[in-house]
Amino acid sequence: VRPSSGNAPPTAPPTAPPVHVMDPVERTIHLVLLAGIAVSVALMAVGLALGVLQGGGIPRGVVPLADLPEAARALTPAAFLSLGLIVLIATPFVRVAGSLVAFAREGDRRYVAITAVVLAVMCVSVLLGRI
Amino acid sequence: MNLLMAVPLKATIATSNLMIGVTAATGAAIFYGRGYMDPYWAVPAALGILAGARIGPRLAMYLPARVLGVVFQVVLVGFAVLMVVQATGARL
Repeated sequence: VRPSSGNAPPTAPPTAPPVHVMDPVERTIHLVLLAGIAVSVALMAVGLALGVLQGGGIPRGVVPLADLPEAARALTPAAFLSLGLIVLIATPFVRVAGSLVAFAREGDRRYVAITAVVLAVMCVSVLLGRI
Repeated sequence: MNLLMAVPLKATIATSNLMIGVTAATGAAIFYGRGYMDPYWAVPAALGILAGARIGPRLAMYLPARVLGVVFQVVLVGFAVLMVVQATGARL
């Protein structure tokens, strides 16, 4: 608290942000995003460390999904970097799915419908894009 | 959104980030499936962006919206100039 001059009543610090209490929807999304980022960063850090230790540097291509289990078992840097990128890409998908569940649990029909449409559009886009 | 719809700048940035995140993830998944993604660029960029994303909102809570607006505009103009220069074929 700043020292107040004269008889003026002490005032709150001017830039204190309002305390925000998270509702269940926000808490779910918060956890999903945080977990996705933490896992992704950890995988990419391991991949970078392996790349430096094995002397190969950062590989110039991602591992195709089909070859990923084998590459991960072989502990190649490319596998860890690819897994990190996959987790990072998947996080928004899981986030939308998580908010769908959270809205459903709250019984908010309108937002369940909107979120379901968003998730459907995302999934259809990915499926169409692979062809 | 900020100029035409008079949404506050911080809300504008948050909303646009959400939309970009959802649409970019869809595009990124397709790029990954087709093997176009290059970890050499993607991983350092992702780590840098994630670090910035942790620091940025904390700064934004304390910085006045006017300062954010000026910085954002300067960065955008900078990018625009860089893109025009590179489009003319000049190497930096």
